[in-house]
Amino acid sequence: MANKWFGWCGRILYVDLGRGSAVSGELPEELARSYLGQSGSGARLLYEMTGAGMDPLHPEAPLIFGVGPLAGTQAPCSGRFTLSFKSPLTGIFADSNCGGHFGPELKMAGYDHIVLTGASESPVYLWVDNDHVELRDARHLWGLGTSQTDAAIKQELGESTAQVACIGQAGENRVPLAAVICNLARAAARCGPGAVMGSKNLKALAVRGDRGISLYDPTAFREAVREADESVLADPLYDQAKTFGT
Amino acid sequence: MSRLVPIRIEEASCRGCRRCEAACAGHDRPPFNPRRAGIRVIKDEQQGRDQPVLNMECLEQFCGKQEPEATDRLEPACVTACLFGALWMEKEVDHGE
Repeated sequence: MANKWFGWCGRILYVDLGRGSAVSGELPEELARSYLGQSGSGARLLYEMTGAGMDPLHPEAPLIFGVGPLAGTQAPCSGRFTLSFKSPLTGIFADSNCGGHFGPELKMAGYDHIVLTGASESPVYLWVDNDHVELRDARHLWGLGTSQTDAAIKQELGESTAQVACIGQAGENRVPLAAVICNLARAAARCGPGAVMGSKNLKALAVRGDRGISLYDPTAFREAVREADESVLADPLYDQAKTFGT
Repeated sequence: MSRLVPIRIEEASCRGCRRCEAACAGHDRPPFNPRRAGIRVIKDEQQGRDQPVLNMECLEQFCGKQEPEATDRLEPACVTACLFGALWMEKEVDHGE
């Protein structure tokens, strides 16, 4: 596993909204092995970047998006992404996760994590298209609800297959339980990540990717996925959840 | 036009989970990439509509992407993967023999 990552992308995107800069860094192997991505790695990164006294809505407080090694693959229930941050509601460590197609798309764009720090002077949104990373003006989107924001960004970018995670008025106004919404109806809301995004003047993240994911042993992986699928389908709750949702 | 692989799409039943894309891509050469799948779910989230769209080649010739549980019938992996009845086979596929 020296230079080649399987399942993982092996990259972290660091975005400093204050300076308007983005750097892609290597995912430390130790972090991946010890914390297994998503909320685990997110918690570790957060721990290293924050101190006890830091105000959750301080510009330097990080907001970390993360996916795990299975995200974007065929593995069942693997598509979730996690936001790790210091909660404006409780003032302590928090993570919140969300389903939908944003997580897999982030993986397809080639990143395991996006670490956001700093605060932009005026509203912006982040556009990640594989290696292309751009902070775009979002002044015209400020004040819009999540559904309109999603539609407006996709239209502006001309990318109907981009995935958008955005905040609405609650996040903009730093309501301490504000959610980040993606796919219009999926929410990462626990502990208020929307307020953290709002405090950074970051209206949304839009990602798109077509890199694909390397698997170490695709045949064995498919076999394992089949087994996992079977246990999901055999669950007594499966039929109910399929019809009525969770 | 006679379709040799009679996959029926019932978009009203599609939930847009994109499991069919993943199943198709899972049979391709690595890296795993659903964007290369022969099926694509066009999602219109504002309207709440999901439309699976098949590559025409998939209807003209059986792709050979068969799941082990479907070896008794010529059914492509995308159809086997659908949990909501949005994709189904109209009738048994004729081998041509």
